[in-house]
Amino acid sequence: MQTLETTTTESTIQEQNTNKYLVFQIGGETYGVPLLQVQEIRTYTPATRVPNAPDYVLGVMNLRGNIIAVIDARTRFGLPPVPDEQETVVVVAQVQGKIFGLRLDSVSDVMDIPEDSIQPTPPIASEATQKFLSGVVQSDERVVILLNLDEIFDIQALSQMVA
Amino acid sequence: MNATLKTSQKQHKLTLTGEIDFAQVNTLWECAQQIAQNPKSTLVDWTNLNTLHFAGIQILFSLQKSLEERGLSLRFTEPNPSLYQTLHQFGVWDSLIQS
Amino acid sequence: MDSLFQLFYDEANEMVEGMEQVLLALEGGEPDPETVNALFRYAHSFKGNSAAMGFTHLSKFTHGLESAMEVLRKEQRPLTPEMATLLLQAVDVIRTLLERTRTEGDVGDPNCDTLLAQINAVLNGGAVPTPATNPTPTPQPEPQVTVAPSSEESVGAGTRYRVFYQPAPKLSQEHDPLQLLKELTEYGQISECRFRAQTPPIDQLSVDACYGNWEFTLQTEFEPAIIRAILELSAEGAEVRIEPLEAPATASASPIPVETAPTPEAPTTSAVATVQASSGETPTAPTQNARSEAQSVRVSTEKIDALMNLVSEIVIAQSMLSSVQNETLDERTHSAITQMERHVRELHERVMAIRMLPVSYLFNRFPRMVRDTANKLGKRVNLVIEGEETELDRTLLEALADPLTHIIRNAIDHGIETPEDRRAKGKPETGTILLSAYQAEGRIYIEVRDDGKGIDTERVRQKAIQLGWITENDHPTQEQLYDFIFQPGFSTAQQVSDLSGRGVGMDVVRRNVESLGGMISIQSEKGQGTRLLLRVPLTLAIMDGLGLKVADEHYIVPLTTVIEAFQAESLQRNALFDRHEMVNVRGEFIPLVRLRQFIGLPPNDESGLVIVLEQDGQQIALLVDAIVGQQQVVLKSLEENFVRVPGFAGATILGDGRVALILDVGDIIRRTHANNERFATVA
Repeated sequence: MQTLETTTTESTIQEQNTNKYLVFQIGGETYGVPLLQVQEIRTYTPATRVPNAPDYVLGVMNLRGNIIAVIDARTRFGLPPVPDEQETVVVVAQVQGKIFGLRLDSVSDVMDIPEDSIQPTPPIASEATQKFLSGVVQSDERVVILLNLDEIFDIQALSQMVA
Repeated sequence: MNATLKTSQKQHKLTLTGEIDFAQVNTLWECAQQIAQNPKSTLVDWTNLNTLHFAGIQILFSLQKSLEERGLSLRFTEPNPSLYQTLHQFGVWDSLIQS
Repeated sequence: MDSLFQLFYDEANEMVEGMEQVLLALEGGEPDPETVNALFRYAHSFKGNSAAMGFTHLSKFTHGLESAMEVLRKEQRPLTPEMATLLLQAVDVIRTLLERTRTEGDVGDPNCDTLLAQINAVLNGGAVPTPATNPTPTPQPEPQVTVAPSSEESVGAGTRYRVFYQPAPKLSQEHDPLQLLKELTEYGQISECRFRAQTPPIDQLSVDACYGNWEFTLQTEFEPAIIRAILELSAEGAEVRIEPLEAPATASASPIPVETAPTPEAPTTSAVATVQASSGETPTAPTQNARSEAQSVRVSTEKIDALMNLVSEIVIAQSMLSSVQNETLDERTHSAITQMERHVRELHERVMAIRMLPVSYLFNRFPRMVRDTANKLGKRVNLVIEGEETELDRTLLEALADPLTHIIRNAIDHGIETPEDRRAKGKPETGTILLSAYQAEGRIYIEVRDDGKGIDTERVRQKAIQLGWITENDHPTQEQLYDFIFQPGFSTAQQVSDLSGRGVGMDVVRRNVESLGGMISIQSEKGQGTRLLLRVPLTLAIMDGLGLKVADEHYIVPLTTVIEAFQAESLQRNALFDRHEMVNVRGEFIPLVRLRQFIGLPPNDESGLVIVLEQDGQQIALLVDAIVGQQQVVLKSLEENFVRVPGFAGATILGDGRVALILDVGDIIRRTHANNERFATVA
């Protein structure tokens, strides 16, 4: 019997308590952000500078008619900036209802990370950058540091700094 | 899902449930178009259908017309009493069954 | 909020306003049978809509109102001032209920039953039980609605009609002919109902078109106009024919005229008047033409905004396309681009026009407010509205509501004197507030003028001294004194009244108006009155800009602020007053702002261009490297996804897809002048 159902297909079923993370490298370290927060990945085109903004705000760019800020991940972590390469990308993400772009050297891949494998961040980084980190995961010989995007794009702090 | 279409070798079975308002009529519309593209006699199971926007009723009339033009039929299960009451009171039931 | 809910609330608010207008219109003159009909239709639609949303309290209350209207209507009773006041209270109750429904869900209000009881008491010829004697809701849980239409009551009574009903051609969520027929059963008994299906086969079916018609016998006590009104609810274009089958079953006053589908030359009975007015989608007050036009299409604002965004994108794409013009293009491509440019501009203008609403949307709320405020203060005020057909972008309309409300309240509270005072001064006892709107120079002007006591500049001065803003020896100009009124912390009212003194002052009003890119000015004559003038742009979304270049960065200034531009070499020698650089423009010293410095870039030696900019009567000279040219820009918010950037009003997207920031000239002027206080005394 041939069956034909007009029902909407459920979106991909996920294994319990495993979340997907977008994984990338900055300055030799591997970082990850929850894929759920990521809207898209774009090639980087130079942003328009915003006068009097902190140095880690590269400027603003046009995302399909919306103006969004672009944060430079390296500068945010206190690392020296690197020139634009072909691999330079902007990860578009959303925190607290605001969309922003995070400029990265490159993106490597997407990883499944079980929730229970996430461990608290050891005090590896300086106190300033420590707050950007939400945990670490040891997986197949590599250590992935998970980032807290709400701290990286901190609207409250930014609105005070720019004003 | 308010409108579900199942197809066997011989016939379609269109099951309607719940409340179908104007926005949900689209699903019914898609089902009706699928039936029209692959015409077979069709049974409408609306035993568990509480309300149906008039736009949906028209689709059934229209589907009936399309099927009958090809010598096929559109049949109905016993409707839910309140739906029946409405259809009957305003002459729609008779029109649907007699045609 | 759910869009369906939003739609309901939008519509409900419009209806509340409509009811209010009808009632207020009535107060002035002769009660018109159409007024009661209009009120009936409002109450009816309201009942239906709220029932559909499952808001039982709202639908119960409006059902009660509808029934009361029906008594008035049927017995052709005049609407007494007493009843009008009660009905206005009922409008307030609906408003309260709406608000509570929005925030708390389907909840009731104790005033509902009390008010319905009062209305019914008046209907039954009794005196109004005042709230004082009735502090708690009446003991009866059910209001005594004397004529709630129900099928039981109609049994065996009324007239029998043969009704032909061809529903309006377009179906929608609201328009379901079966629902309308169901509603009709509340007004009478339907029998011998025949449905004629005229449905095409499936490949020709249009889902939202209505095929088929009905014919049935209806036994009802209600008049044909009511029956027609119900069948014409929720959509436009229904065809209804009602013919009496026999002599009325009960002793009815006069034979009811036979009605046919819209025939303007039909006898001029009140029933016919109803018919013509009810052919619209939503009931409308007879005199509100601007309003009824605006009501003819209902599109969600989200849809319009989405369309607007898309058009903005096209404008940007178009300017990208235009920028490749210069390169080698063949004749045909060239002319196609030029043609498209023209069409895009027109498309843009037309979509903008959709967002425009007559200012009556905003003004309509004021007659009621003026009436209530004046009553509360024991003053007599006549509100005159002019230019209500002037159109304005809906975003602006909404944003202007609060400032205008405040200004008008102020005018009644602090402007208009009491009738006794006015008489003593030889003025008419009733004060006049003129609220007018007009368009000039691509901007909208809104004026609020009263014939009250005007601003006592000496009192303003004393207050400023008291606040320590000036000393006894200072004698500021009249303009400067008026400006104090707009400063935070200033209020001349001897005692803060509960009407105007809600912690919102003229400073907030000015800030609101300026945030819309507008300005506000004040003129007053002691003893004669006060005039407030608001000037706002036609729309927020699009503006003409002048492109500037500094280093390799692009900026935009609004063209409306640009006075002139000239080469920096031709500058008269710059003067320095207290470190502040001034330029001499034809004998006048204007503060100079170096854009390079303003945006944190190092200065360069090359001389550039000076642009003189003006806003709110103050000027600055802006030094830039070069002018790129004039262009239309789509204003985009920086705050939406980022933060407010001081000195910048927003951003726009250039032809090449890059972002340029738009300078906030008013803000830059304020910062410059704030740093530059002595300027005023020197110049």
